[in-house]
Amino acid sequence: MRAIVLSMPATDEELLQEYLNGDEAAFERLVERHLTPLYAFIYRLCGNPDEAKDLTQETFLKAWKNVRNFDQERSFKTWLFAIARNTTFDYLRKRKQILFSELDTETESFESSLEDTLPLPEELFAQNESQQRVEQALLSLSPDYRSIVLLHDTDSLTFEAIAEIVGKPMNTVKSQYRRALLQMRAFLSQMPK
Amino acid sequence: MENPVTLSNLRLPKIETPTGLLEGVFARIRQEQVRLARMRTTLYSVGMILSLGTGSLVTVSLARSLRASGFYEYASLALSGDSLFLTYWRELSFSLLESVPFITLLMFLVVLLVLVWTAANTLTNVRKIVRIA
Repeated sequence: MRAIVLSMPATDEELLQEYLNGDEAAFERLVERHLTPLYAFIYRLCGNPDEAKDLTQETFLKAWKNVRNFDQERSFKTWLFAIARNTTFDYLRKRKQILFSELDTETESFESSLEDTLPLPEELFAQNESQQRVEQALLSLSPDYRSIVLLHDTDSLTFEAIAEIVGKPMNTVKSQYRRALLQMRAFLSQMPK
Repeated sequence: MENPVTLSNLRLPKIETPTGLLEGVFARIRQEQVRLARMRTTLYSVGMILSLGTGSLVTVSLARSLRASGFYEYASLALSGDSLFLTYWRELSFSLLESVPFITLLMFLVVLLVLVWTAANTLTNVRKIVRIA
């Protein structure tokens, strides 16, 4: 009986090390791996496919330029999404689509930094909510809240990782996530069916 | 306790990447690589030209210093195999050593090193441009 040897795909860290050792193709594989989720994240933040395309290219360009300074103790995915978020927010700021106050949450109140302890039902939305309605509810959020929801639910990042990306304490991120879901639910309940 | 809040039923439409996005990313990176290589080529070329110019001045200065110090005479005497040199080899060796213009020689070596380094880097970056473009 022939033994079939299956090789595990290389991790981000392994590919990164290969690239730093001179294997250019390793960085290309990293790009291929993260392109789709990164584009989807940026697209849902900025809402425009052409802009999302440019911003995705810019994100990977920034990552390539700074990869030699990347702290390999960190998660590459987290670092990449942090660049994507900051690049998109800078662009939205320049486009004046959002006010600084919508992005700058360093003046977050003390109460909002506390973790909410009230449980929420697992299914926050009705099963038959249409994709379109949910997308509209998502777009109704501020870019800051929207990025937290996207990172948690479509990119499956932990709150710890999200806290690192957005540069806020984890409790703040959890509170904002919960608040975002409540806002989305309120928006959906006000929308005509 | 972590709130078990999920959006498992949050059915967002799948976002497909637009055609050509991957190639676009690589093209941007290549563009930046060429731009950086061109910038480095320019800088190293300028360095090479400056070190060539400085090198020629330092070479002339070194040759003059060697001539003025009597180094050539001591050297030709050492190489002649004359019995006089064999008798007074120690004194003549010290004289030969003293006649070397060390500061000028050091400057010459430094400029030569810079010239070789800038030339090598210019060539590396030119090769990079040719390879990528």
